[in-house]
Amino acid sequence: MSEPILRVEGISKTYAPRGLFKGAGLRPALASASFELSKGEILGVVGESGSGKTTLARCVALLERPDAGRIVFKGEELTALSEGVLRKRRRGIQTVFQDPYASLNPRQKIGDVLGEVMLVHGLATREALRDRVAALLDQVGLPATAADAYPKAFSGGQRQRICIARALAAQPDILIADEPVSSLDVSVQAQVINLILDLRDRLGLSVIFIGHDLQLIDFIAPRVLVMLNGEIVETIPADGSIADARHEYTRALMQAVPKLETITG
Amino acid sequence: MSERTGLCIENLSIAFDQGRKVAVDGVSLSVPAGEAMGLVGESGSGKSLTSRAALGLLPKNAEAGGRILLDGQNVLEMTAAQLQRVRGAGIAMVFQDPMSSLNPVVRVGQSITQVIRSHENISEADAEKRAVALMERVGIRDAPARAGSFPHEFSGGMRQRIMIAMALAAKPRVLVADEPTTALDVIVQKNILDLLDQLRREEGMGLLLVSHDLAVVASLCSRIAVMYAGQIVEEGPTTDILNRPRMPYTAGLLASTRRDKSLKRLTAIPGSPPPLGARPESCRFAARCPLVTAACRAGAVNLMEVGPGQAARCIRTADVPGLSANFGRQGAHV
Repeated sequence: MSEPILRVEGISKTYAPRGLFKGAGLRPALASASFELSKGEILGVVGESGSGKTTLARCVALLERPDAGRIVFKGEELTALSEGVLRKRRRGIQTVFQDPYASLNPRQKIGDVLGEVMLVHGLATREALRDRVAALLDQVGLPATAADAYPKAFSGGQRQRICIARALAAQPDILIADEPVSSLDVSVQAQVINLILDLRDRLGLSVIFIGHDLQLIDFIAPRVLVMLNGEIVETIPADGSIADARHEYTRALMQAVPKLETITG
Repeated sequence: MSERTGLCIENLSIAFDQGRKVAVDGVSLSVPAGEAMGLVGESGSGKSLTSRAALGLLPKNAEAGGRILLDGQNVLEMTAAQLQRVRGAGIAMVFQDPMSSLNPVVRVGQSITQVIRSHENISEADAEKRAVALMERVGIRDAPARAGSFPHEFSGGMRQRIMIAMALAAKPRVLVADEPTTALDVIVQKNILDLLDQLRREEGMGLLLVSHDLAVVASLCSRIAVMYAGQIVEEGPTTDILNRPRMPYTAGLLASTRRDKSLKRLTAIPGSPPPLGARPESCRFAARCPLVTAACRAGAVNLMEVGPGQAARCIRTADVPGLSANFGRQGAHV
């Protein structure tokens, strides 16, 4: 395997309690997490609420600075950079969140949402902007006419496509998808999952896919990290299967999910 | 099973805007005592409106038609006082979000006691004893001490158990659970589903379980009704629905849950459901259906019997079994 695009070494994060309960028991939200991500790889992260999976996403995207540990992206140690330099590097790691309704400005046309990202990062000129926006929309399966509409004109699944297009507008190397389909209708979830798989194939995008649905994550991600109480408790290797999971918690997760197969026999 | 016991919804319609927007269109389903009925649908399908209507909990601007019979009495024609009596003892409800459904400044034992005393003429002390017993019944450890705690002192799963204890307080004959585990983690979800199943069996309650998650509903219910765009599009015994769906939407939902690694992609249903106000008179799934023909768009399609106790709203229902295997291969990610 070639040099990984991302190396995360022992990052930790503890949120300091504020106000009334200051000084109450501190438990790290993330405790010494380490992993690598290769180009074009989809890495799954699974855990329940409070397991630290979103903190992991926020730290890796440097939306939050970890208290300890190193994040090395394309050979450069992001955690050692000043805020000013870091701002330029953030372009390479983009995030898509769970709720596409809360993630878009209702007063901004879709074309402006996408165009703004490209202008900010100097990835397109004003003249070429309309074409570039149309190309982006096409990439996520939306018509070019979507550029002139406001978010309210779109369904949840379409909004999540727009959020993905916005992330792609920055031409990132890594896409972090934090529960990207959890708020979508069942019949639409598969469309968005397939889009992420297509983008990995077409653009060579590396993806960190975070969720709570072990079966879904096992389907799209060859390698899966299992998180519990801020720690990575198990890594299911690319040639392994969740059926062979060793950790008691992973097995408990697996058994808890109702499966249609066991009912249909 | 007579329609006298349990819940029986007949041809229920719920409309808004002087009948211009029909959110629920001719829904019929029954929840006999002691049985579990599942109602599956996506957001906007009308499943929550239907389940709330069963408790007389409709928005003020909604107009309802049809009948909702609870032990033979029509809920839609009840006065406020009659509704008050029937809610709790006749039919009770558990909602998705236990935090916003509990009064944050009332100790949980007190909340349960209030429900008991609003339905029965018993002393405060006796009601409190019953409240503690109910908390034990739903699996809250150290119930006598925990009865004095406030809702925020419990985890999400424990709060949902308290909601269930409150719903059980007046010994309802039918329990409606609307997405009771959607806000919960999977291991907690399993525990709550097991509890609901146990209570249905031991108390002989009818259970109407409403969810977007087919697997959750299938794990608990002997019958399933699938709603799409305001209508029931398929209904039948759980095993038949899962093994031999006869409506392309059900087949598509089932296919989209398959996690077959050899396929490389999930099987998706293209498009999205038609919004309220833009629903066609003809088959509402036609725009997304791989079997669609001109006849499907020609006029309204009725729910038709397709097997013992199974009905589907589809004129091409005979072709659906062959469809299941390769649903959505074409244009799978459009």
